[in-house]
Amino acid sequence: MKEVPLDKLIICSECHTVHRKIRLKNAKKAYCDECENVLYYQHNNLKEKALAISLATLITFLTASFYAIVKIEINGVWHSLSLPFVFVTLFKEEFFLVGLIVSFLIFVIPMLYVVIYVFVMILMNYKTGKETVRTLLVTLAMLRPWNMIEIFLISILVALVKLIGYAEIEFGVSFWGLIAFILLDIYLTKAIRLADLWDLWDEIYRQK
Amino acid sequence: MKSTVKSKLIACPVCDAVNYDTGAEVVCRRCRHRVYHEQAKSYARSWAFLITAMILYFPANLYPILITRQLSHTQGNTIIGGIISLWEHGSYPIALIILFASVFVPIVKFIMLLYLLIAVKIDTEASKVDKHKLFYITEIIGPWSMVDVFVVAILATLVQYTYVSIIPGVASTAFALMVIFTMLAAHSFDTRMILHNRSEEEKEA
Repeated sequence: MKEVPLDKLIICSECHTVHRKIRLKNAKKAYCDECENVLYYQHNNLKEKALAISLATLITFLTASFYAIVKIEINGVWHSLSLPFVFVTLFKEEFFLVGLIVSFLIFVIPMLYVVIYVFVMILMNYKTGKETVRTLLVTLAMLRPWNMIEIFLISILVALVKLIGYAEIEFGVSFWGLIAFILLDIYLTKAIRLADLWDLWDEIYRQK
Repeated sequence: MKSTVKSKLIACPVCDAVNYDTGAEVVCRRCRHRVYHEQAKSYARSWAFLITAMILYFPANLYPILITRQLSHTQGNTIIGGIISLWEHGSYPIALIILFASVFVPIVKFIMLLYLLIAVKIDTEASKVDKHKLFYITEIIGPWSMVDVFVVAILATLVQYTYVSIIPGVASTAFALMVIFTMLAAHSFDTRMILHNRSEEEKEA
């Protein structure tokens, strides 16, 4: 029993059944035989792929933040919504707590997540900063459940439906930026799992 | 490929590395993060967060979440009121989304967490696989109840005109805090408590 090294084992995140890892071909998935949840992926060029996608995510995040997401018009007056602006308005209305919570969930945390991700992948590609990467990967795991940007997109659609009939609605550049950002963000968190990055971390820094 | 290893193993919630469960505090061998605290403490913490969230559920539903100011006329809307008016206006899908996210999800989360916390102490019929699944579902659906708070924030940002404006109501603060506290309750729930039950079941068998 003790002969099985712990690194060769994996526990299903959904049903907690213990499995022994086997080597897979590139781009194949391993499934849990108890609940059919995906256990792990085999990416042969994870290091480069994750860096490329995280950079793309960062760029789409910038596009999603600095322009208007939607604009509405009532009687000739235009008002626009952009990610950082939500916070400003709620503070003006003296809803400090809601303003703080909302801006963290839809702006600060997604931004930190992507920036740290890019930084981690750069360090991993240069094979330096073992301890820094460890700390940053732990930080990523902490931030992840609090990233609610995809819920924000659904909320935008709900809010717009409520405004139909009262106002003229126009989508801004950032709306499409936001959709691209969310798709890439989902890919980063679902297709490239943090556990895969930890395995990569093991592989890269083992000799040091 | 299912392993037959029966010794107590747990997955690190941060990095998924497999660790030996010593029963007390565990520091993950890979990410060096203290992955499990003392069980009694995390049990008490989970209860405390859950009860806080359940108390906040009442102001979140009783007070207006959205206030519309139109000239001198001010009107407050509660969550339920908002759903009813959406339904009356014929926006059935949106009414259903709000009903699901703001009313259904929090209640389901409360019941699931209550069940899991009680089931740790009392033997239940459900298998440990079902309990783990249940816990996983509560973690996944949790954040979706934030939809209503976001909608209020968006409307408050957009609708700022001299003769009509929308401002967030007291309930939006209560609701946002309620979602945060239910998420904290789920995060501090120690999945080892389910494993603990399992090993006892196996001993009896």
